[in-house]
Amino acid sequence: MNVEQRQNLLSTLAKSSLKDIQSCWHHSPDDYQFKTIRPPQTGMVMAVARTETTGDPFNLGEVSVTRCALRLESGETGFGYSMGSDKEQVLHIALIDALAQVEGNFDQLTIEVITPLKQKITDRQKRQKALADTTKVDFVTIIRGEDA
Amino acid sequence: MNLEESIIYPGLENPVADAQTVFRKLLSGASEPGLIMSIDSLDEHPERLSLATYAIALTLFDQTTYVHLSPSLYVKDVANSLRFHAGVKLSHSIQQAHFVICNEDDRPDLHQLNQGSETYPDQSCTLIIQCQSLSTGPYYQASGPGIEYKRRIRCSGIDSALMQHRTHMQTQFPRGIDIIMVCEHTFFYLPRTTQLISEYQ
Repeated sequence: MNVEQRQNLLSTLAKSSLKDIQSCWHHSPDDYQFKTIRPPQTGMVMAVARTETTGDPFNLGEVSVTRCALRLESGETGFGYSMGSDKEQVLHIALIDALAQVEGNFDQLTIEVITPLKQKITDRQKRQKALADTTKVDFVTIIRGEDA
Repeated sequence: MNLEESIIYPGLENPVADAQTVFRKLLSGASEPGLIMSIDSLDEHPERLSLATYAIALTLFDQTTYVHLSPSLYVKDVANSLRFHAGVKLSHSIQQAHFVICNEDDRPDLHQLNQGSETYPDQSCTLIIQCQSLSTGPYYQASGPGIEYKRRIRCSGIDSALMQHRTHMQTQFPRGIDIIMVCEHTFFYLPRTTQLISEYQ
């Protein structure tokens, strides 16, 4: 697993709800031997945004973020960060992140967990976009006068 | 820097409650110099840091703290664990450090440490010395604020250079450094106001 692959994995998991993760990953944290380095904890983080994605950055407001870090018996360290306050979810993220670093696990996790979750995220975004599009208004300017 | 694979050790299990417990012990220890306190809020700690040192570090250090580790303690798992849990800035400079952690056998020259200023003596350095034992070595009589009459203390970390520095510190008051003597899960405090006299002079 290289850096880019890990970023992709963590990003996908962070955008997926616990229910979605559990529907693709049929294990429980209890199945594994690990130590929590930092037990799941929730805090506030300032979210920074840009108008129209290109303007000057401004502080949008604080969002709650939950994080967790753990270490497998075999020594791999996993981190989980996610918006919201679902401690169970970040524990799953950290555990999957650690397991993906174990030799030979990454490809299987990609097929079983990451790809289906990515699909779910895309589907959800499409649905939301379709819903938003129904309220879209196209302004038509009627040109009149001699300039036309 | 040690090149072998480093691991981050777990921090305090309940960061707020455990840190409060350790802080209370430190406060009690500082009010009664020489009294041995013990800490039981942790079960894992980096190999080169004793349990009490690690617990004190996790309690007192944060992003604004400059910490200097003596060469024998400056290894990856100590540095990474402290950075991860406390966000400390590890400083190469001894003069600028708010805290210096060392073993009794590689203690830096005490005169090099930041002794604070006349106006801000509270900005001085606190030295954490990891000792072999808090119950061997010659006896000393401690007196001063927090000790009603005299308290007998012994500790493998007290040597003639440390005693000389304490004598020098008396002329500098209120400037000076505070010392925490640590061994495994126990520690005692030696604030700058405590006077030590060797019992075998």
